[in-house]
Amino acid sequence: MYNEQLLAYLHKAAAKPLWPEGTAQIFSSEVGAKDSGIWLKLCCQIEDNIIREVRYRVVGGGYLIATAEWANAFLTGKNLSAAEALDAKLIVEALALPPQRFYCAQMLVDAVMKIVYS
Amino acid sequence: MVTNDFDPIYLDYMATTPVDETVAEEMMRCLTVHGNFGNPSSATHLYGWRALDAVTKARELLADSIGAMPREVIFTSGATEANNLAIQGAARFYAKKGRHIITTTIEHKAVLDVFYALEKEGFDITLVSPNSDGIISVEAIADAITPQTTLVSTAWVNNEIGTIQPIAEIAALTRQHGILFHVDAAQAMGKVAVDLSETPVDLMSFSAHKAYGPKGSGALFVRDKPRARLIPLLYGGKQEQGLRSGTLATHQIVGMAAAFHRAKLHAEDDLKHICSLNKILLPGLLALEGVTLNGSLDQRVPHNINVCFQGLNAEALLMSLPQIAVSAGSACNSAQEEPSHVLKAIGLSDLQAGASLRFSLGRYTTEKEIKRVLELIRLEVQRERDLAGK
Repeated sequence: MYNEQLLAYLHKAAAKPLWPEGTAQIFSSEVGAKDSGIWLKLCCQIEDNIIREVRYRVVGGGYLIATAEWANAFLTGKNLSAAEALDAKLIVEALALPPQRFYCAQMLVDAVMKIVYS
Repeated sequence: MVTNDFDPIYLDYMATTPVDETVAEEMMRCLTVHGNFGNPSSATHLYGWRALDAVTKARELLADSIGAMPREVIFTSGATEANNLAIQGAARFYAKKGRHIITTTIEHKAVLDVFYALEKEGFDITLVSPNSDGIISVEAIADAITPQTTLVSTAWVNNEIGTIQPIAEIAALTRQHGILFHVDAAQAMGKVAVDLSETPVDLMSFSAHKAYGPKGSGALFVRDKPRARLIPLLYGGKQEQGLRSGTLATHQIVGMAAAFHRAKLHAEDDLKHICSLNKILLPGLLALEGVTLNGSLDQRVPHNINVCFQGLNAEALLMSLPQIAVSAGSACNSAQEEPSHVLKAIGLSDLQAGASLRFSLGRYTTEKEIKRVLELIRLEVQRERDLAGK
């Protein structure tokens, strides 16, 4: 069944209000599509090259919700170079994602890279 | 049914039911050295005679519970085997008469896959679609019948959406055409009144574990007059009139008969109890934003509530609600990633099918549990809608 670390992130996930459009130091990215039932919007508050806070919205299964919450824990306090080094393998291992859910890790990497390179 | 505060609330009675305590006691009496452990086929000593006596009494009890004659009951290892014996057995026996067989798109895999296997053998199969309520019309069956048709097979109660099919009408139609009619009644026993003396069905499959009996036990009703003929699947000791060889599992048979007898005896009380719970859970779920019922509102058993949480993901709901034991799709299917073929057949999209959960109520469900489930679902649905920014 579902592993403990994954469930811990899933249960912790909370919908903190997203920052209003145009807020300074806020960078966001989207991957997937809401209509197809799989979508992730990642928003990072970045100050002096450091990710101060991560907020997100998710449409999808528990694996994707847990992955988004893991991103919150992992990225907060990291600098952009550390974020850039993020790869899907690390996420898969951290959450013990099963092969059919590897795409959750890849979606998160794509979302983070869009922010890093924006 | 909560045994302690940490156990999830069990609302998956259409996947399986716990064995009734009195049934378990009767089964225990047929297992150990102090009980009735003999082989019913051992004709040379008292142990065998006692076991045969227990099986004979169980056969009579079970036959009485379903309005059949004792010799019309063939014991099997479950409904899957009964379905296989009925469909493969009848299709092959009547193959010289015709090689066309009919079922529906919303059957359990234990029926559908048998049809697909027979198709590979060269049989022509027709799968009839239900309407958007999940009901198979008699007209649709009539339209599918050809001069080559030898068998029609459908479930009485659908295992995923709980819809009740018009069995009596389909039986009248097939009888009129001289075609065998097989009904998968795995989910029907204990939920609808089963009386084969009234309904001209030729073959009917039963499962013990869906009606508070043991797993690994089932039966096939094979009508005697007019006799439905079958080619067996298993050869050996020629038990069960040569239709199902293999040592009779006395404890399983005794357990199933006791469970069915109890189901018939307490049918009214059980139904009243389930209806009272349904009247709380169904409106409570439908009151949540974006929740819709899958399948007919009227032609369904009250034990089943299959709902779609529009825009959400059933898997995420299940993972987030470890306090509730329910099913996404049918339990036999839930290891698969494919959306439910039943929900798709009644017109749901992949997303809607993936947003659907089946709640099934049972004898041990309490009102307190239902109220707790509603509260947990309400909070989780709100959290996931917030997470999705809706």
